[in-house]
Amino acid sequence: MTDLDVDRDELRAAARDMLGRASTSARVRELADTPDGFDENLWRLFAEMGLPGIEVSEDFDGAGARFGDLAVVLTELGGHLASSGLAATTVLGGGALAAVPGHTLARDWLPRIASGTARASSALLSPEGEPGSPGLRASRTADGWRISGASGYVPDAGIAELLMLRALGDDGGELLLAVDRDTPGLTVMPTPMLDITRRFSDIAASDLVVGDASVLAAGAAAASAVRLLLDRAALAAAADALGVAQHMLDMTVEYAKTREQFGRAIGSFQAVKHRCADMFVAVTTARIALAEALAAYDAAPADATAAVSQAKAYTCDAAAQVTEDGVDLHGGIGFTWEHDAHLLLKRARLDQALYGDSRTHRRAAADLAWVPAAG
Amino acid sequence: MTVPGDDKLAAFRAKVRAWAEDHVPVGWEDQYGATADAEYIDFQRSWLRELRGGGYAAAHWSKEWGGGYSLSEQVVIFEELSRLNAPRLRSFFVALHHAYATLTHAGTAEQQRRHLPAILNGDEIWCQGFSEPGAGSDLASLRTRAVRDGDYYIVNGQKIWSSGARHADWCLLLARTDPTAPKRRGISYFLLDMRTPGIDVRPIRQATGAAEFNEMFLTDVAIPVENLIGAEYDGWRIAQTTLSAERGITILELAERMSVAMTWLVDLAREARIGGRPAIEDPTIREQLVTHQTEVGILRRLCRQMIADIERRGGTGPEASIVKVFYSELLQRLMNFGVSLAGLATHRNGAKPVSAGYESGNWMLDYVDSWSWITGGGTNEIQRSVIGERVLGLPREPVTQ
Repeated sequence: MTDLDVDRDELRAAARDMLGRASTSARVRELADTPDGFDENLWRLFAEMGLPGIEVSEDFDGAGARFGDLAVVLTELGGHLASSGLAATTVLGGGALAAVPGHTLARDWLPRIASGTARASSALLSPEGEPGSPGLRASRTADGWRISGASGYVPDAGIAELLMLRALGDDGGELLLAVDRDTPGLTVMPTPMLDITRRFSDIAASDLVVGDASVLAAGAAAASAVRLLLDRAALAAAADALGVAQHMLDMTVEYAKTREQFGRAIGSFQAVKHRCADMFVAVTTARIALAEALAAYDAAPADATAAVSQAKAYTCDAAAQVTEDGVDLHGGIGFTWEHDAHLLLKRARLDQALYGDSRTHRRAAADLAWVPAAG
Repeated sequence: MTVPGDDKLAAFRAKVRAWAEDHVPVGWEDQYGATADAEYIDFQRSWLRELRGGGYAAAHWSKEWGGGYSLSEQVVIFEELSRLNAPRLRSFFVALHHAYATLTHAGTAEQQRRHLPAILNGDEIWCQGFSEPGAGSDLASLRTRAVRDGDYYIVNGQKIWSSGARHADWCLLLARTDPTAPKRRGISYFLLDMRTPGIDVRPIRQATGAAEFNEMFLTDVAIPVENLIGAEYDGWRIAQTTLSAERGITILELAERMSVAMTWLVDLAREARIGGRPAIEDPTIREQLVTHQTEVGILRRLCRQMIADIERRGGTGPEASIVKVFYSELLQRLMNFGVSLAGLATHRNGAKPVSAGYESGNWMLDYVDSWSWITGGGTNEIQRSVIGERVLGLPREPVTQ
């Protein structure tokens, strides 16, 4: 237990209230037409609420809360289709630096993250978005490393000052590096996505030379830091998906209560009512699956991988189903661009595909539970 | 991380485990077959008394009546008993859950004193007289009549799906006392002594081959007025408590049973072969095992959460419907998966022991039996309407009276 027990209901209500005003559907759509999807005003509100530093240790001017507390906020971001770099900065940026609290870069950057004056992200995946092995290579130089290769689907890299890079060293060990986004040799290319509510980039490194001071961790330490980051990313995707699903449920129930056909609200028909009930059961059970995994992570992060994988698969599959049902139940209007249903559908499906899809996670959980499959 | 209370709970678990290892009968599965006969009832009664000796027969009851365990302790008791595949108290299920919930919610002090200690002592088996041939999902349309005549109500009608009625001493009976009132307002709730003349019980053989269900024909059955429970005409409201208990708290135990069954499924996947290799090496089988393991974990948490809510708020709400839907459909998915792995062997004619859980390892029979929960206790369609209307606030279906 930390000394600071966050009242999650209060945190949820505060985040919901702020996002309800600042991240309206109209605003989300305006941002979709901007180059980087970044909302200066929203980020300022995040900072005023102390959200970027919620999980940062008190030693670095953060609130020292748990990942489970941060996840409450991530779920609200999903529910309000919001982004603006908060998830990337906290989950992947702060998360990477917190894994090496004694490092100079952690001491330099964590207070800036906590105060909301810097944003960060991590490039963990292969160019195809696979979490299994990095797409960046590092070869030893006299006083550092030369990085080449590419990494895909890096969230909010375009608005981050600091980027963490996961690379495979020529000695076969993994490396976790931290570099300024504007370092020569590093290219950040926005990836147009069907989910217009968030931004991702492909990054490429070509003769990117970094000194030893940029190495956050190497070898086994890097591998376990990366493992932890991938678990955090999976939990964050699940938390986001839960918020999306809850929003779709609320929106659909509201619609079923007000939309009338055959002289009565469509929600009075069992064909509609029962599907709403199924959506509710899916959201309720997904919330439990996620809460279990968050509790496991906060109790012992290194031992939570199986729980994380189970929760990622279950929660994201539930959200995919719920958003599909929601589009159905909205009828024709749910298929229009003007309605938010498709934004929720696309965001939930992207969460499901990010950081290991459900199949990958279930197989990983199986390998942890039972002797790995032959072949 | 040690949470205060963990040590205490660990000590409690050690105590329960030691007791269970000493007392849970061994080999009962083979001894008591598929027939709910007198010998089986004696076995159930002796197991109840054994449990009572340990203090575990009615873990969910209040301290006043012989329970008084915290929610975590109840879970520990169920976990430890399930671990050893202890017999379920199937004959006393209605007594321990439905009758207890109803009597403590609406019974008089006298009714509670008369029945609760007797239930705990194994002297009273209870059954339910709710459904009728014409009143299943539309329970409120029930037509069994109770007419006041001096100090008695005279009851005539027919009940159906009464589990264990043949061996029951008492019945929780719903009957109509005012046929002119709107259908939910004309129902009263009675405690019926099954030895009363005029009761004819006939077994119904189920799809599993076993005959737990019964029909009950009531002809001029006289119930003393003091056996009315709650106020006259308040029967429908009180019945909701009985039904919520069934949908909710009972599943706490069943969830622990299911998590044991999950380990059987893993064992089965190790034994079963796909293309000559153990099924557990097959990636799709592995994925499905993980899916079910996740779901069982969710169910256990869902039950505890619901019961914590009940303890905080007092009384079950419509949330119990979520547990019922999720439990029953998960039970069916697990058994279905078991059937798919167990091959032809599971289709050989066998019988599941009556005291077994809903999961006995006879996968095909367990699968068939899963409709006990899908349909029983209010079909899942009805539960979905309850969730839609009472949890989500969707408008009711227009009612035709």
